[in-house]
Amino acid sequence: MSENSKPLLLDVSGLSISFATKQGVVWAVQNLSLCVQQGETIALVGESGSGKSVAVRSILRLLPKATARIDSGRVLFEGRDLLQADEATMREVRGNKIALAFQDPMAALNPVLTVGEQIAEAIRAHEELPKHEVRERVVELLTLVGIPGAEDRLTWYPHQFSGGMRQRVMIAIAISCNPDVILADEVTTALDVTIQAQILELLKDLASKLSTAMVLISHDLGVVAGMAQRVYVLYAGRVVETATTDDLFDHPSMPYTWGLLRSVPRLEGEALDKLVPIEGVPPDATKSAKGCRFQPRCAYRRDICAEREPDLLLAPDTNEGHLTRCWGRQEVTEGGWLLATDWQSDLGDPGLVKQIRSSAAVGG
Amino acid sequence: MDRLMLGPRFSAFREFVSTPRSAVAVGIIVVIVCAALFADVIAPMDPNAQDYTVVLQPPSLDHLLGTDHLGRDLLSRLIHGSQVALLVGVASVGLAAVLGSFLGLLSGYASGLVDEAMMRVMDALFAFPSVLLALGITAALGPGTFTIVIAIAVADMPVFARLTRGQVLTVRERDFVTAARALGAKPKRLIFRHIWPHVTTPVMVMASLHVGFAILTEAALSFLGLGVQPPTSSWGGVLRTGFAFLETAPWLSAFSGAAILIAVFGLNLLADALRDYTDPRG
Amino acid sequence: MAKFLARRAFTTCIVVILVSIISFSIVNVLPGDLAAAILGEEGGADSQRYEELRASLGLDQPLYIQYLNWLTDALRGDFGISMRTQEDIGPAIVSRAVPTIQLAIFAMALSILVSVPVGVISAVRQRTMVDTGGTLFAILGVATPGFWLGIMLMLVFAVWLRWLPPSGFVPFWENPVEALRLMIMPGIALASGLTGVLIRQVRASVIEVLGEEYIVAARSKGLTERVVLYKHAFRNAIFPVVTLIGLQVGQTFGGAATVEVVFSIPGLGRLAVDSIFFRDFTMIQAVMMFLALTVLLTSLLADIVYARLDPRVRYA
Repeated sequence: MSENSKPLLLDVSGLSISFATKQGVVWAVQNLSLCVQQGETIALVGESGSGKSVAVRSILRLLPKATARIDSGRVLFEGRDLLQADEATMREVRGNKIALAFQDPMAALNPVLTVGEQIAEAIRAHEELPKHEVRERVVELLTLVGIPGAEDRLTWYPHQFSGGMRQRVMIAIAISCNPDVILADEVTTALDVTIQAQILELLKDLASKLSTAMVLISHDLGVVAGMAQRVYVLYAGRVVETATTDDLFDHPSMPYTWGLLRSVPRLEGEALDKLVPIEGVPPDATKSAKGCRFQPRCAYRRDICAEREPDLLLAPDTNEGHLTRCWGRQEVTEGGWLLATDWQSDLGDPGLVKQIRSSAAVGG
Repeated sequence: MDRLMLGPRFSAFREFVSTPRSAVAVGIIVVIVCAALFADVIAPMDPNAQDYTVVLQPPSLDHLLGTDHLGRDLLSRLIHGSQVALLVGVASVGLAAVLGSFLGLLSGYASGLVDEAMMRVMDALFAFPSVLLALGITAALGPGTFTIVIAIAVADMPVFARLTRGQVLTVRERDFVTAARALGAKPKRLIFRHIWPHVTTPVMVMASLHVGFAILTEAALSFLGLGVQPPTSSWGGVLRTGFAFLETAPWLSAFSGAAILIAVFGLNLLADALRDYTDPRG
Repeated sequence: MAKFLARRAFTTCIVVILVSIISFSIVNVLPGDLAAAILGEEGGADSQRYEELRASLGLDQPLYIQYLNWLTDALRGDFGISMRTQEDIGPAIVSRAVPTIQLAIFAMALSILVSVPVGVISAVRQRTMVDTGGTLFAILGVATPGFWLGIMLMLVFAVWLRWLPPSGFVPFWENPVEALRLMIMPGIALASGLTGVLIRQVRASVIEVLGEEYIVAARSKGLTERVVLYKHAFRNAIFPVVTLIGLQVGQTFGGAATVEVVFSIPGLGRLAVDSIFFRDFTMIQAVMMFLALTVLLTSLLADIVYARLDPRVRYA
């Protein structure tokens, strides 16, 4: 990744996280690595349960202590490993250096505190300011995120706002201390489509205005397209493909990404005839399997896929930094059968598709 | 062969008692039930046999827990007292659970004005502290075991009515009930086939908790002299005697109260364990 | 909020009427009637005196007229005359209510002071020894007969150690120190059950709230764990606790009956017990009515407090 000139801000490597549940151990994240440069926006994309939220929460060490365990990995930020840092350091980082914005603002805002107070306490946690200055900052922030009549709304409670407005409040909290990185966890999922666009526009605008780096989490490649410079595709807690956004959309490299792209409505470019869903259901994270995790749902699979899990390697014939986890796309013995496949015309083996569909119907 | 005959129920029971909490609960309850069932065999003496040569004796080898002012053996009286405690506890709560659940089912299913009226009556009953309501009913019916059972049942009824009604309201909105109704199931069938099964578990849990409370109420009333009448031995009655001789024979108060405490403790633990065990959310 | 409270007040009125009917009828399902009870064994034989007394008590009227008469008098604060002491019931109840209410307030304050920290600590240290200890303490509290605990305390601290006076009552405003000394043992006895119930509720609701997303959000701002717990979690966890306290007022009054007997406190509970022994039915009616009304009013009060505390209700 020598093309990167900007300094590295956040460097996550080899992160594995598991949860102890009644049903057994859930392997939520396996060997995840990603990095964020200053002012850059990256995106983590995957279905629900793919470990995206768990991964970003672990960066701030916000996972439930009783059940979550970080099995391995490092989270380097400003030269420190946050996973080894003490509580005081973490408090200093949280909200101040790295902020988290949540999927459902109704759940993430405290119902019994005014929004003014909820923004103000975030500021006060990191800066000692006189009361009126805090208040001014809060009004400024609310105005910045596009809430009209901010002065009067300081004393409002979350339930008095509309969904979109609540999400704006959430974002105001996230940017309140001018953090270096914002972790935006599915911030548009709970909103109406029209509001989604507004919120995305706001985030993009703020990120460039404040030159804040952003980790955008979404299950929707469409949301990511106009926002992120780099995309990580996650499946069952693993990165299965990563590339610059343009590269990923132009040359997606493995069947799961193909599936995601086929299920996104696209306005520009060579439109597909119809949306094609990914058949089957995500794997049970309590069961460990030896092969590729996507293999049970993959219409291009071969015997090797069920035997060994492929590594995340440079995809041949692609740009630098484009990594993929697929036997079919790697030039190894027994592999490489998908190197010449045109994902837009070849939907895989129809027999396999049928088989996956029927086994999902039985299993689900 | 044992295994086959005992089947899944037995293994469920084994699983249930495998935690220390429920093992203690089941242990206490088994001991008390045995004491009540086999009181005549277990009790070292006749609980009503008076012996004026051993009045108010402290615990000794002859009388393990001492004797009362009539020279009666305390241990024997407490063992026999478990009969009253269990009888009153189970009968009153059983009655309350049956009547209350029935009203709750009706109320929850009927909804509207009927529901409103029944629930307000339950609110009114609930407004009386249960001991006070029991006192009032005792005033009307005269003291005695039967009165206590009725009194506690009336006082506890609102608890079960509210619980059942709440369950019915939740369950009746669920898809399978809507589906059954859409398919034309009759109300009676709907209640007993589809709704009732979802009500029984919480009612059982609540009942095990309230058997303990009923024992406390019975003890309170008997202590006041308004409950089980002498010479029948009850824990609250022994405590009443004990209080009169607190300075000279403190063991009477101490042991009789401890018997109540242990019994109610066991039932509370059981209710707790049952709730956790049956709660699907775990 | 106004709408919510108006509805609440309306249903309370209906329940009050039902409570009065229950109080009135419990005594009237008795075999025989008040006149016979007043005249006693020997007077019952004198049929002319009996009829006169019946007429003067209004007992020759139909039951519902009797009820309406009783209710309208009661609404004016006139509960009639005690059959035992011949005193006016209204003032008698008010004077006997003082010790009971003082004791109940003391016991409830005591149990809130104990149960809130124990419940919160149990919740925060969920599934540790501390939590097990807290839960065990709570179950013991619920399972202990309060009046027995009182007797045991009396045995140890009044009979053996002679640190505290064994019984009696002094109003708090007359002699606060002596009042507290007298109330400690009955207060603990009365508080034990409530404390157990409250610990469990506090623990359960704190655990539930700590799993909420806004707690993670509060931590993500860099707030200290103290602020997260007391400002964010506790404020939300308190609602079910307030409701429960409102509901437990009745049980506390009920428990007061035995505790008052043990500690010779001249309160309503003892009045009720004595009245039953002396078959003082007019008094029993009035005590039941009075306590039930107090319970209804406090639970209405608890709802108002709830509505004030919770902005979702306040601005609804």
